[in-house]
Amino acid sequence: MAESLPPERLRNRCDPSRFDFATTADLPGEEVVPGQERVEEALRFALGMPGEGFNVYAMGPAGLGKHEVVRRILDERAAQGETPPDWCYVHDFDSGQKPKALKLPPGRAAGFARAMDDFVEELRSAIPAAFETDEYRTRRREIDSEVQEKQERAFDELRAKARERGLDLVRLPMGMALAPLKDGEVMEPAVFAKLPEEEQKRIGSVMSEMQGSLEKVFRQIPAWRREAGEKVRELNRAAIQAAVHDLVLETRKGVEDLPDVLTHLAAVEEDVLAHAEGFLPGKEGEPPTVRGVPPSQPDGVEAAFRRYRVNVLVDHGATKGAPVLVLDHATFPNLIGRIEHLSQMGNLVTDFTLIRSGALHGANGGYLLLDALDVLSQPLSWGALKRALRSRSVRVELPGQSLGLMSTASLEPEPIPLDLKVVLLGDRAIYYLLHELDPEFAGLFKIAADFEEDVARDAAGVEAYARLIGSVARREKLLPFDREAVARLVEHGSRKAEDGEKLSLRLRDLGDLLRESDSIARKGGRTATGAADVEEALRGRERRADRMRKRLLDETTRGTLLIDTSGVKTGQVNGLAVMAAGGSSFGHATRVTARVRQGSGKVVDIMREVELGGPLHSKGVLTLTGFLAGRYLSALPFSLSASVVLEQNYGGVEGDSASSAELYALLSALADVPIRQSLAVTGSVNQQGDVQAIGGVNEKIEGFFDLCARRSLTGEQGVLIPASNVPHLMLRKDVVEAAAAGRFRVHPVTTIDEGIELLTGVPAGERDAEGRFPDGSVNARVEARLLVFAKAARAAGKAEENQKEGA
Amino acid sequence: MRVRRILVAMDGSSESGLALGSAARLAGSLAAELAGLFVEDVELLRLAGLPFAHEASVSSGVFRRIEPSDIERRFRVAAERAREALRQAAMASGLRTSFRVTRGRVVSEILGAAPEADVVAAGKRSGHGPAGRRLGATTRSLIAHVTVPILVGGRRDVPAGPVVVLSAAPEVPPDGLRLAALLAHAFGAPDIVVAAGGEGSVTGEPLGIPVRRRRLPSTASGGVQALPEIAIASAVVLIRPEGAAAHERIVALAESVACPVFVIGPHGLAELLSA
Repeated sequence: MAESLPPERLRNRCDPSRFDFATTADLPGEEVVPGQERVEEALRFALGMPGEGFNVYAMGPAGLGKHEVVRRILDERAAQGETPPDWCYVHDFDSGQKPKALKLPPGRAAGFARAMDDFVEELRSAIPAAFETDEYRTRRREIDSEVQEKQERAFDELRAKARERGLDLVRLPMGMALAPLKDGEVMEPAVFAKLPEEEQKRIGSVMSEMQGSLEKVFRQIPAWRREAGEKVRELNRAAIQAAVHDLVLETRKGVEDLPDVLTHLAAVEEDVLAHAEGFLPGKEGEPPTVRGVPPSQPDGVEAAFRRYRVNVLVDHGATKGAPVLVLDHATFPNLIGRIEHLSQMGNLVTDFTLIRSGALHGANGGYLLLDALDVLSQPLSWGALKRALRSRSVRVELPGQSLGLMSTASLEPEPIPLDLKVVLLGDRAIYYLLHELDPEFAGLFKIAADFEEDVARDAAGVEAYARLIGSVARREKLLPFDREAVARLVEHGSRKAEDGEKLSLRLRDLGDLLRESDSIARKGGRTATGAADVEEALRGRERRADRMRKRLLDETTRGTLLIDTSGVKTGQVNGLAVMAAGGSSFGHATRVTARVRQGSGKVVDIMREVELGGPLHSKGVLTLTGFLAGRYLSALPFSLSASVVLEQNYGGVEGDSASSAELYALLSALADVPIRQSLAVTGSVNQQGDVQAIGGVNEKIEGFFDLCARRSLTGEQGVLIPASNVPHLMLRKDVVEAAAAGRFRVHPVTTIDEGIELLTGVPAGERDAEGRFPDGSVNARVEARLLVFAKAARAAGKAEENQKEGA
Repeated sequence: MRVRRILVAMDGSSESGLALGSAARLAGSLAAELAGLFVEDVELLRLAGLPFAHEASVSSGVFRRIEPSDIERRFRVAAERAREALRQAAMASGLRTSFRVTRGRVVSEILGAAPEADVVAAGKRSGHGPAGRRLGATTRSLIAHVTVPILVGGRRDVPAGPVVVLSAAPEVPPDGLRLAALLAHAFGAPDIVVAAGGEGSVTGEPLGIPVRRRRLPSTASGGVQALPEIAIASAVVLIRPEGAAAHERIVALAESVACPVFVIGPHGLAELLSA
């Protein structure tokens, strides 16, 4: 019979004397998360690889501090990196629709933009001044007069010609006409009618001849005007050329070393000269309006000047080394930038100054951190990220454009070359799903950095853990933790890892606990946080999450939930389950019962029949059926009909950790041997009858302990756990103390036989040389009962056959 | 003030609108009535009645047949536009107005109505034909024949330059300066520049407007155009010269400046301005 475990094996205590520091203030400051060496190596490798697609997916469940680890490595790397160039968008003077991207050395874009603003301000006064000179005015008047004189001369000549022929040129409200004269006045129609037919015909033919000449003059007018317009343009250009050239020279001074910028400045100069007249203020000196409403975007002169401004997209003036950017909300525009619009009388208008950068621009030349789930759940973001990484360029566009849904004219900014490393943070399931479902993923995110969830609790691990606690305390300006507190935190780390030989790396939980303990210590006026503060913080957590556990316990002690913790019962055993809700979990006992009768060899899992049992639970029941069928009377038909159920369970059950309990209940029912109700059982079973490890062993033991403690501990009570779960034990102190006082026991078992002996107090029995179990043993009684069922089944079968023959 | 009524010859064109603007400013500062007159030109009706009457569009040069009914309709539209322009101008400065439509020969009708008015205002040209600088035939005739002072043209962008008084005689009658001062108030001009032939002295500061004196440049040295103030003048007051070429000189001046020109005789000023 298996012995109960000694108290020291129920909890892997951490001895504070192993630490050679008084408080964590004595520990070195460098923050190193232990156990993540593989992750760090993967990250460093990826960041050092120049090729395409060496982006990183850093994976692991939430709360491991992935972000901090990645950020620290990126920051280290970025500090040694070069600061990337600044980027601006400027007007495209060729088409106007494709803003040009200009690259400037880091920190120089803002200066260039200011220089262009100054340039515009200077233009604003220089151009009107150039047009106000007497020389310009005189020349302008000359051109206007020239065309007017040409027209007047042409009409004068025509009129003279008409007069010679007895006609006159008459102005009408909408044009001109020719009319025959009589005594210097237009001829009366009546007078005309009285003229001889010959005369009328003559006048008619002269009129049509003159009409031809008039038509010719009219046709020439547009050409004269065009000619004059051309001359005015030339004049305008000449008028402002010197001033503009001077201003451009001034602006060039800061950018002589940048050929692209100089090319742009040359285009600006040419554009100003070509559109000189457009810079003059409106004739009335009033702002333009659309049906009386001033437009929200400056039109006319302002719009003309806007073209020369510079839209600084990325300014690395204050960046040291390479940029590291974290994007919390990876929407399509936040990622790749956006083109804003202004509403103008119900129309949406835009230009290059309304292009805004996205995270890809900001992190270009450095590193970008994204949350995988965030990117994937934002519409269009994932596709946009992949496109950018694949094409190694970022193109700002409207979401509708990328879907091909927009046909209105908008901007097509020149794409900006992209050279950055993207680190996606997310859990493992997403990584594997992406690998499976997105064929591009593997090529774009070649490096996986897989975070450890725990670290071995060896000497090095514990040391590192203590340093980690110290560095978090220092970073967050918490009180130092004394060595007792650190020891307690180490123990908590093991409990969180559900393993006495490991330490949990869930840094979020650790950080929270440190802060909570610190708060308690400060309230107590202490200079360092002690073990009692940590303990109090943990108790506080338990209390806050305790409602459901306490309710279940209350209902059990009141007898609403039927759980025996003393006496014996046949076909009934205490199983243990873990309930997890909202981040806290606890164990509680569940009554498992079994009933047997002769039948067709089937064990009915009631939980499964009513669809309250999950597939793993069904697997457990089928496995124990296999054990029964294989172990007893394998030569005879398996003529058992049995049912097992987890009593008073209405919420469903999953997992096979109750399968040993179900098997014990069945064996007890078959052998008709009662089971001690002071014990509870957990563990799954295989077809050979070996008891296998399960999860949540600490919570399960504590759940039963709490119930027994409520009813008073008798010394008989205890829990059977799989022997392979012993290293995982990190039980509460009160449980360990009760065990030390002999008031509660934890029994490790390796086989069903060991378990049934403990539960019934009756030997399980092994087959002798003849294959028989010893008389009175549990196994012998089970086999005898099954034999009875088999015989009864055979007799029933024969009777049925006879009946058929008789019929 | 004796200016009680300003007759504005209107044809619904933009040029006559400019003249209306000048007249309204003047009427505003003199508290005079604006009397609009629209003449339906019988010559045009006559023309449209001829069997081969065709009209060439200014913008396209294309000829199309016109009928008397087309002309009638255009008269109605233009008269309506003129009436509306008058109403708008009056509304802005709260003037009294009247509007009349007559039919006949344009110059005769205006001359017929002129004696009832103290000032006649007219556009520089009808504005319907091709753009030019020349004065229209109607305006030329009015300058030649109207006995009361005549205000010709106007401009959209009145520069806040001086009111320029032009006089061939060395002395400008004090009433002439007073009228210039009234115009300066009407057009918001800061000062008055008197350009007169020969030597003379400037008399006072009429109505608080400062007066500067300049010598009228001779024709050989560029004439009126050589005056630097002429390009930015708010208005020009021309003391009607005497002599055979007087009419041509007035016309040439009106054609060469962009601002309104007010032509007054050397005599009759006292009557015009006396209270």
